[in-house]
Amino acid sequence: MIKSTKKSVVGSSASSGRIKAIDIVNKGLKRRYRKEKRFRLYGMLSILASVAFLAFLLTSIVFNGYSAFLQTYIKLDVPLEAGMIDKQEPGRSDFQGIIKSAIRSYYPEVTERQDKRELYALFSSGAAFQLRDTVLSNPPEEGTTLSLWVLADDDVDMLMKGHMKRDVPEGSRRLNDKQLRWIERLEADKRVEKRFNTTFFSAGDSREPELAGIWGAVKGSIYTMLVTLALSFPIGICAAVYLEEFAPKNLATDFIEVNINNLAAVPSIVFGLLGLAVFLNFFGMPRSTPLVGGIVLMLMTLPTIIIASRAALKAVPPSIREAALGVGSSKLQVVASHVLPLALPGMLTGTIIGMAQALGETAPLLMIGMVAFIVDIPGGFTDPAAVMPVQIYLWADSPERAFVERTSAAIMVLLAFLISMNAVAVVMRKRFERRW
Amino acid sequence: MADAALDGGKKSDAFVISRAKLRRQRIAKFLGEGFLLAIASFVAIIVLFIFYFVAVDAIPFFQQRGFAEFFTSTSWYPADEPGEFGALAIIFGSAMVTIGSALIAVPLGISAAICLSDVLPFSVRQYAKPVIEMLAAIPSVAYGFFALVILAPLLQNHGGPILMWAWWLIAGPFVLLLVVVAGDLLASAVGGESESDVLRNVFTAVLGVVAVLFLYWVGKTLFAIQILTGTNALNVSLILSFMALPTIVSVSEDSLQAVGRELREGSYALGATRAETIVKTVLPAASSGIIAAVILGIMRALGETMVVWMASGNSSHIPDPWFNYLDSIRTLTATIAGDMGEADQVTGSARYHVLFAMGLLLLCFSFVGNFISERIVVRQRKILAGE
Repeated sequence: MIKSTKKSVVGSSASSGRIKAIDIVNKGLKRRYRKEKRFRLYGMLSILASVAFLAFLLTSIVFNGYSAFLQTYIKLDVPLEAGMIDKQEPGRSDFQGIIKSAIRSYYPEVTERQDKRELYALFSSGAAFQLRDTVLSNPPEEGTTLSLWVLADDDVDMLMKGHMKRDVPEGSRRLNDKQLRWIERLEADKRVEKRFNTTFFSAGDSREPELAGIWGAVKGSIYTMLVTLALSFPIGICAAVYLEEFAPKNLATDFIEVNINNLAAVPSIVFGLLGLAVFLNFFGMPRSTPLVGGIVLMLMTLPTIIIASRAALKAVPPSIREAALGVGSSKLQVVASHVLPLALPGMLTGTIIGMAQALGETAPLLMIGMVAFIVDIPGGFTDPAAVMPVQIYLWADSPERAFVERTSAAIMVLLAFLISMNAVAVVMRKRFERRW
Repeated sequence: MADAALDGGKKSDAFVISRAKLRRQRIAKFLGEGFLLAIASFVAIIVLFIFYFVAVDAIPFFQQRGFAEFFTSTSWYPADEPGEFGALAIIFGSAMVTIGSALIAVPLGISAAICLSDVLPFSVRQYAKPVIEMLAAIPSVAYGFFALVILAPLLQNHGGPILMWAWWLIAGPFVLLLVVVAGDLLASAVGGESESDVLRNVFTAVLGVVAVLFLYWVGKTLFAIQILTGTNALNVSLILSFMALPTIVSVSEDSLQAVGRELREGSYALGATRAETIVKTVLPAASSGIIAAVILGIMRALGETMVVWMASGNSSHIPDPWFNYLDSIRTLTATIAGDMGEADQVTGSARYHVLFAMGLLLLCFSFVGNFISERIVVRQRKILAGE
């Protein structure tokens, strides 16, 4: 609003010799404009600082994690000799042994016990399962040679992705010189390839980084969110409708309002304590299940939903209510058939934001035992499950370098969910926002 | 019914309400409103419920061990037999990261809020605001991972240079500002009425040289510092400050917006620049809302669990000296999160109950903070409405 002109205010009387108020103003003017500029700069700097922090955080996570979407595979020729596959029950054959003999036949010169063990370590222990799945789905003829792309061990994966340097001394890398030479031979034969990491999106947790995936956690998150949504949406909306439309102004209403704000201020870990003390120890509900997790998160999201829904209800102008009352509707009818439909988009926006908060929450779930190591993919609300943030936390604690990139990748997936949820909320708000 | 009778016997059914129908409507109204009231009070009762259940599990601890040890001792050995449950160092750690994050987040947040509300043009603002709000959308475990995997090694390996650069970037502009102001003041003090540019420039230059030497000396000292562990209070404070930032920015911006145009325009009309208007008129009027924002931001930092649990080092001792932010600390929330898995949950040992005592402490802090900030906001609203 103020143009920073360097000119002095008109009407200066410097020549006349007498000091007037205008001179004092003029004298200070330059300094004041300088101050103004500095002031603006500080504001900009603070915003830039937060933007820079956000950019640094996101880029470092992306840089750490993008390579997890690729996985190193090794092509292995598996000769299937007679008797290797069990005729009656092919699923019970010694696939581990078949894989090992296939590896040995590619490296015939390796004979020492210790060397053999180091050689097998280049291949993932999941290779046997891959072979088993291939054999079961498409039983091969005896005597043929299966050509199979099997998972490489995470150390080989890290080497191929450049996270492990080849030129450092042997003692400070996880693969020794011999193993490097074996890998170089594979590379020379074009038997090593990086492919899209489907395991990451389809498997549950595992101690082996190359076999670990987020699907179990995603499913756990979905179940948990369903419980949270099913409970918090109706409860939140009913509470908001009561407080905004029906509640008389009295002490009881004030008490309810104050407590909703208090609920919003409760530290998240305390919700976990409540879940532990009440749902697990008092009611004896099953540990580490989406059911309990969903109930605890419901308590956390309620204030968000209620506050947003009240704002949406407040935005519906009184003229709508009065018109409906004027044609003879009861108060309940006014709310149910006029106010609610108009306020619904705002309420949904609030609910989505609340759900996004719940989806990213970790601490209370640690308390109710959702931090267990769970390999199986959950199939229901009472199966033990992990959720995505907890899975991220568990992986972040693992020492392997391969888990660092998987952690970052899982964060990227979670962030993609959260950001798209928030974006939907913003778009909905823009789209349905009405000016009355 | 009476109205229908007044119509001179002409019965129009649409307006006739029989007694039974009326009763039905009343019952429906009663049931509907009662149902809604029940749900609304359920939400309110949850808070009491939380308080009750946490307190019920916390009281056995105080019965067994008394208050003195918990609040005054720093020896935290819950796994020993018999255990020692001195939480002073842990409470101190919580206070330390909370204060540290407030020191970073408050100036940053308030100046960002001012910038968003009064300085930036609308076209920039509509992009800047979502970016700051996005800081709130990032899950805490992602912050924790960032602190643990990226920031901690960075601090550990290049701690000295980072501290030096931070010092230059933060203290540099501040000190230069001080130099300019001091130069002005000195020049007018010495030169009296005939304040000359030459004199001012000389003073500013001399002071500037002194200031740069001072900056350089402190920077060099910081450069030589070796950070022993990257998982320390500084790391956590930094991350927590950015987590608290969106809260502080959005609440203070709301309260800056609540100061109407009239006050601003009045100030402009008197010839104040924008900076003067904001500092001398808008900020005082919005001060209570900003204080509430700061309290809410601090509460957020105090209640945060994952970042401190992952990246604070979790060693329960008071740093030496006590303001040493480069040392590992342990906080209340991290202790609850970390020890619950090991505490014997079934038999109700002191080790289990002490964690509830910590939860109770956190709960009390958050209620008090919330109460104060709410009072302040209500007062501001009343004052603004009254004027």
